[in-house]
Amino acid sequence: MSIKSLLQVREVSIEFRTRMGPVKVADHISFEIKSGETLCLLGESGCGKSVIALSILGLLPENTVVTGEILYRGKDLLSMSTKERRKTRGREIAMIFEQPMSCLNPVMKIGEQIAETLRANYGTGNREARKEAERRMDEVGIPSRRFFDFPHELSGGMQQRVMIAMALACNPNLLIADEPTTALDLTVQRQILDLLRDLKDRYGASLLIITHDLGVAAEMSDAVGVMYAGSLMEYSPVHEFFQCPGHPYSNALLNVISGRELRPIPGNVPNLTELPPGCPFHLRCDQAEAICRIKRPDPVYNGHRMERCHFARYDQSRKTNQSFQA
Amino acid sequence: MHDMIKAEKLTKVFRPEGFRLFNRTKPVTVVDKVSFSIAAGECFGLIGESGCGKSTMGRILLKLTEPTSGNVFFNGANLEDLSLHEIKTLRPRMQMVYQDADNSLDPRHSVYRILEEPLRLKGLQKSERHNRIRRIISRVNIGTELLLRHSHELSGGQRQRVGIARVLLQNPDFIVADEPAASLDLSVQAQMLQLLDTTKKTRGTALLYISHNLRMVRFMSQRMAVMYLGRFIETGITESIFQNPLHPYTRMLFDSLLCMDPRKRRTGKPNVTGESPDPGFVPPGCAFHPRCPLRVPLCERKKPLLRQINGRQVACHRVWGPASVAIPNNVQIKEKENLHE
Repeated sequence: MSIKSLLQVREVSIEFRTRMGPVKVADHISFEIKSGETLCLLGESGCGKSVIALSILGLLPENTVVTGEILYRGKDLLSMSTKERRKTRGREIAMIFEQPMSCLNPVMKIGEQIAETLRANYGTGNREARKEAERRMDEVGIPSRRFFDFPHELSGGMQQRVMIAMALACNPNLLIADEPTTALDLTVQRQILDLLRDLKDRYGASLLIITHDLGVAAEMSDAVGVMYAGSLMEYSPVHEFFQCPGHPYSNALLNVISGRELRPIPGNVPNLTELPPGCPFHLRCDQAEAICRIKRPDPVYNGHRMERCHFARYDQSRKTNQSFQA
Repeated sequence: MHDMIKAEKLTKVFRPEGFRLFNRTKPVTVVDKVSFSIAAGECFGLIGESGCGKSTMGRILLKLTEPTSGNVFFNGANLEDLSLHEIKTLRPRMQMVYQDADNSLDPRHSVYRILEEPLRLKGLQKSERHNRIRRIISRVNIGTELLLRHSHELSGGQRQRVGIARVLLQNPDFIVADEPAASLDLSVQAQMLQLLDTTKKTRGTALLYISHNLRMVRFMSQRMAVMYLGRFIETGITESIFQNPLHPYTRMLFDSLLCMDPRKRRTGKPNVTGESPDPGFVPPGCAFHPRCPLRVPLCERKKPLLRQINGRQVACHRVWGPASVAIPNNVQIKEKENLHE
């Protein structure tokens, strides 16, 4: 293990026990985040990207079975006791959710909510916690007169800023942001992303962004992981990903909006309860052959890149993706 | 080509309901004197942040919401002058694709029945209804096995497809698509939009495409308008607006568009500021002035009107003439000069 690696997810599989039988929502996922690095997990709805985030924090419901290893600074989070695990949450790893309104306490003033994070984690005194909360609010761009506002009095962008202030209150080393800007307007999205990047750089934290927006990945990440139907299809440094996507799914995804015309991917995302045998993407893949319908591809590694495809080869002559128009 | 739909000085003011004494909410103007037209076979893109009045606009055009003032002409006929009966006969010809497909499909009916209903209202025979549904589902790519399912048994993409199929079954002349794909995944989103695009091209349907996704508007529309707090602030040919946005708000919108190339990542200070606007508190003068990097004192007093610039209409005091980006800050603008006010 390299020293710089902050989080290593190794062969993690997640299964939901449902009345209809077990459903595998994540299948042997492996990736790592170095300290100070931003990783984007890209994928369409239901591909298992949020579940991965929740498993890192240990917030999955009772009926889930998680196997594999999630190493945080070399220690396996999955084998920790509840008490130890609790200590990592907030202080070491914090999370921002898509819908800030449903995560904030509606009957508590926002300044108090930020201060409460400090009191709960470090037992900070009231006065000191409030002072620190005010400083944090200033840092994320909320005017201090908003300290006594309730969440519903704030706009969506401001609510998301409160979430960020709360998540950063205890200086976590890893910040997980699950679709942090999906619910926001375009101009506000830009501001929140700028803020996240700015704060990440200032504190040297690592960032794991879960998103379905290719633009967010291009803008924010150092590395990109593409998920499809519970599998990690590709893992690449961001520049290589956007210039020369490896997996046919990545390629198709980028192609949808890259040209002058829309080029949709035919078919639908498969239902996780009725996954086809073989490669999960073969039904929509234009390069699929007989083997794709039978055998699930193993990951193929090449330098920093990983690709889960039978025809994976890092051929430099492969048609590079034309660069995008602004 | 003739104008399929034409809006003339449309205004919509929402007044607070209920007992006055306890209700201190002021009337809210969500659409403010907006005029435009869409030709047959054309797609008009409408862009704006949430709360700017773009959805209300679409509803007014379909007479789902009554305008406070102004007129809508459908195929030359003023909707205001038509009787209820006449409006009813027009309804099938002007249709809407809703953003939220889950709530626009009857949960108690099967897909077949949902699709059949408008045809039954038309008084078609059973075999004819059957044939038409057969044809439409192959066009929008709904499998026959889905016909007997109910809406909760469908995926988001399938539901939206049923919604579009229901609209297309009636061969409408005018479709309002209000963020038809916003809740869908990219790969499926593109399928929906392509479907609408093909319909527009093959049947000469006029299309109003409402969205906040700039990229999709560029793909879909020939002309577009940018809306800010109930007003059009820039309108013209889509491609020319994308190549050279004139209004400072349009430019801010394009600045906030995330570039798909990590090499062109923006660094340095953000040039996007301010919150998305609240229609309850429209600032005096130019509604955009609190966020505008180019504002001068005049902007706080006078509402800019749409002016013809470079084959385009822009509502801004600071944008002049074709090559003009903006007048530098140190130049005083005399109010007299502003003849269009």
